[in-house]
Amino acid sequence: MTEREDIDELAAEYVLGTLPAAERSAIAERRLTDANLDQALSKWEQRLAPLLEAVPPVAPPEKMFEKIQSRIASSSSVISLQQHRRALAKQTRTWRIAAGGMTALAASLAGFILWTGAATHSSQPTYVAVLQEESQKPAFLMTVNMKTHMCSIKTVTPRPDPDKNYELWMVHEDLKQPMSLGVIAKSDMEEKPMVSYVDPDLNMNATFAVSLEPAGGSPTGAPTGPVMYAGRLVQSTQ
Amino acid sequence: MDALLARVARGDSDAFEALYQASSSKLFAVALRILRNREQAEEVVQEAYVKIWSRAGDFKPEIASPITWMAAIVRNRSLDEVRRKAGRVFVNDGELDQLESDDESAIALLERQDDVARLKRCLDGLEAEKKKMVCLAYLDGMSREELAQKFDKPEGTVKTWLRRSLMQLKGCLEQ
Repeated sequence: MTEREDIDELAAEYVLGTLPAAERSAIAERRLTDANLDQALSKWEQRLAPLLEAVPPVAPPEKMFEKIQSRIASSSSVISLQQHRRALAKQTRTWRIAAGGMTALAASLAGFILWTGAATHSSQPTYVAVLQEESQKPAFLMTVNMKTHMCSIKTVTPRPDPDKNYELWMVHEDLKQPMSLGVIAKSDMEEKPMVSYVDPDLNMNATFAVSLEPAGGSPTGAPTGPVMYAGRLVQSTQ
Repeated sequence: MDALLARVARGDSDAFEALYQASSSKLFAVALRILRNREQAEEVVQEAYVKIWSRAGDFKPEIASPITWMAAIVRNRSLDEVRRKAGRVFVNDGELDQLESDDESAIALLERQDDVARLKRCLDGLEAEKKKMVCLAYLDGMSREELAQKFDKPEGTVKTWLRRSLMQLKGCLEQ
């Protein structure tokens, strides 16, 4: 079987819906960077969509549109991945504008993960950020201890290609350009120092973003690859 | 709907409301059929419209029709949801032959009447059991495991049948 046929079969079954959860999320992730797969998926979506004619419309709940509107209003500062890509293609200035809020899902997830004790048992002030692509599943969980100025990065889902690295950036309107916090190790959990001389308020109001860079990190000191994930800190312990 | 989506991409909220009015009963039905739970379906559809609003600029009219693009967002979220948990209760079977259109689905239908007829003809070319499997998977979100139980076949057989049926459909549609 050729590689292309293989991709096409996977795409077909993804769109049909019968792939198991793990394969589904692997495909959804790969789709973002694999143009062949994306095209195969789009074609299958188009091929099978006429079947939806067999589903008789059902009136949605009342007030659903109002709820959608208020969601949009409250998430208008949430970073759009697409906006980020465009911004990067243009200029880093846009980064400062893109610094935005964290979704309710991310906030509740961060709370949940901490509640289950997966992140830290420290009694010191601890802050956590879920770095994710909009409201998709989280990719990295970042925990910051403001006293020790250490942060830990837990990798939840992604694995970059062997010749690429994820790099962590802090984005804030007071910074002229995104500040690198270094390449993220390809291990499940990593501890690294925060930039200690910056104001804690700046940390709290910054957006933390992860870009895909060549092996070893950005060669220029500024993000060169696509921004894959982003999030902001929330306080998790007193 | 193409024009509406293009306006939504430019941040036109009137166009967004019009798009919602034209598509929400269809998208809600699609989610409800897979999730079998009104609350979950509402949640998924709300999320989907937020995504439609923020990603309308990614829509490529040369690749998909608007309703296909929007329905894919809803289906993917719904399927991710049901694949994560097991043991749904199926009250009734998916019936492909309910192909009657009413006022609202007519909007979507207008775009693709030919496509519907063609896909139906190609589905009719599959053996009855396989056609039913494909429809239950696509429309009701049944997993391989659920299909295996329903049709009393090993999961491996279900997987093979589905893939072969899909390739047969592709061949038929490309004729």
